[in-house]
Amino acid sequence: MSSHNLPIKELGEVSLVAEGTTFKSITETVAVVTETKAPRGWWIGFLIAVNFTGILGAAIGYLIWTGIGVWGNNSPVYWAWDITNFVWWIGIGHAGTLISAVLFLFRQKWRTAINRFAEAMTIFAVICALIFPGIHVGRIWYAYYMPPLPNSMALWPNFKSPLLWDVFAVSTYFTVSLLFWYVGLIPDLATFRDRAKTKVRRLVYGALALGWRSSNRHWQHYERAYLLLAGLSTPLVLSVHSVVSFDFATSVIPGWHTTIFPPYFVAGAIFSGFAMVMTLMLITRAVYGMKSLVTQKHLELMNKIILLTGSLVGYAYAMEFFIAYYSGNDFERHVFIHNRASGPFAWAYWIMVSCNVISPQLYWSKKLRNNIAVSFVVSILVNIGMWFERFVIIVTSLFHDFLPSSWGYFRPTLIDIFIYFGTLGLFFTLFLLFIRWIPMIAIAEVKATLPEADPHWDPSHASHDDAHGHDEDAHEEPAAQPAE
Amino acid sequence: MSDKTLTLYLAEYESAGACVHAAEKLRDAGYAAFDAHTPFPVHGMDQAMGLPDSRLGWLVLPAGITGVSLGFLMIWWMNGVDYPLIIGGKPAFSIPSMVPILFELTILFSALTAVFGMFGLNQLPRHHHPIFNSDRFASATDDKFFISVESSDPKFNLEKTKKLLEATHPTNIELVADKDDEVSEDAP
Amino acid sequence: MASNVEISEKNFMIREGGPWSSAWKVAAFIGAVGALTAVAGAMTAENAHRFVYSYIFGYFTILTIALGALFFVLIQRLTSAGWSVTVRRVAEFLASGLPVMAVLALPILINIKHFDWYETVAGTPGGHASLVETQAYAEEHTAPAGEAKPEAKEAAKEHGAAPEHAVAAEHGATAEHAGHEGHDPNHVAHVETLDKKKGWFNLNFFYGRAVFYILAWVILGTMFFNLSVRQDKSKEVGLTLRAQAASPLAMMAFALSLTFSAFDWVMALDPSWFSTIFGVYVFSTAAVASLAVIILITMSLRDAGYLKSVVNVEHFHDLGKLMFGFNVFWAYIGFSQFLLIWYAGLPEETTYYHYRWDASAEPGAGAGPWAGVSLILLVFHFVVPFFLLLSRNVKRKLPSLKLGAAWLLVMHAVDWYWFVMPNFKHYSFEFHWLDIACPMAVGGIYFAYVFFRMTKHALIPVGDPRIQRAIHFHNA
Repeated sequence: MSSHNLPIKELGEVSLVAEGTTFKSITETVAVVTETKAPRGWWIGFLIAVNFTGILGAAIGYLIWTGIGVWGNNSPVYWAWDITNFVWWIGIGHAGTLISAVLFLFRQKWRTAINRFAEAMTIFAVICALIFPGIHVGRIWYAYYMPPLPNSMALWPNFKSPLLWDVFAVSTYFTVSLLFWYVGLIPDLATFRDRAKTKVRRLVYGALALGWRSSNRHWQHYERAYLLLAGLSTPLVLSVHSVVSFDFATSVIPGWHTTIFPPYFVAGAIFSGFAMVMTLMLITRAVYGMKSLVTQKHLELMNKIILLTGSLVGYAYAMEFFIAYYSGNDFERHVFIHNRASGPFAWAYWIMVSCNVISPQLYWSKKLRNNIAVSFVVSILVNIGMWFERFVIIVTSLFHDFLPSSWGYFRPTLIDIFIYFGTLGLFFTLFLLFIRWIPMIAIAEVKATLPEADPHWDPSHASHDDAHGHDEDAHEEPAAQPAE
Repeated sequence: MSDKTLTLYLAEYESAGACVHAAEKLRDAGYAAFDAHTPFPVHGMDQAMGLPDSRLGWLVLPAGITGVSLGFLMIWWMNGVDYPLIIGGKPAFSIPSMVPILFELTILFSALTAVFGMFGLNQLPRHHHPIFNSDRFASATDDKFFISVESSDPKFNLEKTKKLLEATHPTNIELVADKDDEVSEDAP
Repeated sequence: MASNVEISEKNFMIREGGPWSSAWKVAAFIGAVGALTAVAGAMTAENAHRFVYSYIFGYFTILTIALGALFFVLIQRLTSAGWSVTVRRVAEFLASGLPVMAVLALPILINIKHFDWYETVAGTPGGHASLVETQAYAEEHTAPAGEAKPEAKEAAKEHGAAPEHAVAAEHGATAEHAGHEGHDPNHVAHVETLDKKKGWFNLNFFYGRAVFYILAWVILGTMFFNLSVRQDKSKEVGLTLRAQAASPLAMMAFALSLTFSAFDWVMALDPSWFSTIFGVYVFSTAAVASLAVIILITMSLRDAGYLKSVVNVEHFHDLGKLMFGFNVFWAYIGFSQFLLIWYAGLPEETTYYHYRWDASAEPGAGAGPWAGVSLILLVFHFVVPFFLLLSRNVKRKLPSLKLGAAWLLVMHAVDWYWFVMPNFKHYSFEFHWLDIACPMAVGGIYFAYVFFRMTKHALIPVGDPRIQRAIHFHNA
């Protein structure tokens, strides 16, 4: 296993980590972020994010106090920004599970540089998502009606309701994602514990690491648990967005009731999630000097997945449009032609198409795939486009319903806007805290991808690949390591 | 924890390969209570140590079956018997609409069992272990590879074990004792 | 684990005289017997209509294997995979049979008049005669039919009235039309709906699309095979790069040709029914069946003494995992379609499941003969293989994996029977000897071609730069 796993230069293969990366430099690069003072950029971002979170709190307080009439929802647009935001956030979360589970099963080793990040993103995105079904019931003190608990009215939940399926799907998803994330963190928390210079750090990281001693007897069960979790999370992630799509597709509303919704929602979710990982990764990588671990190669691979999933989403749009025609159903045709592609919400539809289908097509060019500015802009565009996808699905199918006398238009209120941007604030607050205190790259997993992690690795063979041999100490970590 | 203080030999290696070879030697010499400590799971170490396959999967399968059965009973009782409701022209108790929730409960039970079963098999969380008394051991989570042989092993012998370990060319060997009075200082 | 055999073309050729050197002859014989029988059936008046349905069943059972193998090749190219190099050639052989499948599409195309929509929409005299009659009926008995009416009338006028029922009587399939024509409101709705799809069911457009599928399959099947076998001799790294560069566009052509050929030649058997997920559904069958065939062929090559040094349990474990995963995907897609149609209960969609479950068109008729097939699919295509292949040990034991693959291949045929045949005669299950002859014909001819090519080229891509990676591959 020594020479044939090395990159084949003629095929354009490159190492997943920059040259000169050693076990020690990986530990240092990741750990130093949490052991030194936060850079100014972190503080600026954190203060902005906390402020937005404050707006979120105030807006939700006002909403609970006043009622959900403060939203722009009306009859017949009963759902609008609230469910759009819910689906958008859940979708973003899916990339984390995809990277940690699906790419793990497919043995895509490049995932190790980004999986921790993406998993954290999953958890925070699901937290943001959960806010919306929580508050959209209006009287949140009755939220306990959702789980099947015995109550004084002897009522049970309606298990035939897709909305109840959502409750089970999203809460299972949150639980399993959290477990997956934590299991992955244990060895890295132990690394932090063993490096701890202060008593507080030793106690906190020591408690969180659960007494992990890197034992191979433990690694064996640990790896099996990780594999099982990956195997369980893969169908789970499919099911969660499928269940979300059932909220719409089980109905008979034209534009909602279409059988491709489950896989189409899943593809869209992965698409938007990858875009969000890209946005966050580009920022963090620049701020914290992670370029040796998150290399250009990683970014290019992620851009390829964005192109792939963007095309899948394009396929689904095309299928929906085609079958609306092919069905011969006048209502389906009307929704797609007059309520989406033209009509009062055509602007939203075309924003969706241009952001989601057209903008990723830039990535056919290798040059553009490797351009940081383009990657950043496209990732933002995809996030916008995927938000509009949910908006288009929800609003354009509702605003012209079966009763022309009630046809109207949807306009968001200030509270709609505050709550949406407030969840962005919450997301970034949690994310910045994560970066500050938790190993943001899976240290143990990245180490395992180095050539010298292979027990058959022979330093004399490695010479043609890159310079780093046994002289690990000769290479100091590329990241700035301020004196302590 | 026990009356007999546990001591152990800790041998340190620079590379994963050396550590695997040392594990093979101990396995072949018939040791049972030895372990490898590596910053990441090393390929082939399980065979080198002679470990049997992990049984975790056999805990997870029944857990999944429990999840699906409990879910089935719950929905059958709540919607089919105790509070039957006709929704959308479907029978009060209808199987297709149960599938999403049954699936989620299967996954939930399985995942919880996978994680807590792993903790159980590994006997974690664990508050203290003598191996943490070694100062060098901190680099087991960084860049060094260790083999530990515990005194509880029937083949453990201060002289012979040390000789065996020395033959595997470690960069360092130390004897670590469980010093109870210092535990509060060094343990995590 | 390490190979002692030198990785060269001559060490991986099929030897003269062994079972694999003459396997293509066996396949060709089966194909010839099937083809002769099928042609004999197609020529007779009473079986001509049945032939089309049986043929589509046989054709898609095999086509999905070839297209699935193409997908396997493309995905390995797309991901620059190393582990699969030594099993990729078997998939390439299977995909190289796509030009044959393109030729074998001709019996469908020349029998287009047997499609249910043909007489109603394509402008034949018989079809429009029935349209006039139904229109009159609609005016008399039902509420105004809406916008479609004037258009339909005009269309009818344009072609003039013609001897009605002539075509209908000729073909058994339209017995339904002949029987209820003009007296069944469902039939009125059916005709009106089809009238709105005339743009799609336009003969020139229909054939134009067929040309696109055929071209796509000929080009893709040939190109990726040639790129790979040329490397056997030249060892040129650039060929790998070219295959990788071509794979994204090829994937698009694959997706579109698979989806729309399934729409045109299978979904359109019931021309008023539609499902946006249908293309994905067909893809899932292709993925499972092709992996099963790749596993079976690779194993029997090993049994015959080939590939022992380069394909081992690790590769089979991975192939098994993929087959298992895609079978779960198949169940997921199938269930999604069912759940959504069942839950919404729109009559225009539920027909699909009524035809595959009920005993008759009467409400509350109960389960009919197709219900059994539906249950067989649920239990034996999903539940049993799921538990059989769940365990890691089963996938790593070659005999049990072989059983799983063979099992899923049989269920694949049942699945396609279930897709196609309920359209022949709703609610009744009639097995016909053409249902055996047609798959024999298509499968025999296709596999004869594939097995013949296997005797001419190395069984692994000996010139692939990543081949060492595949040989030394370990499951994590």
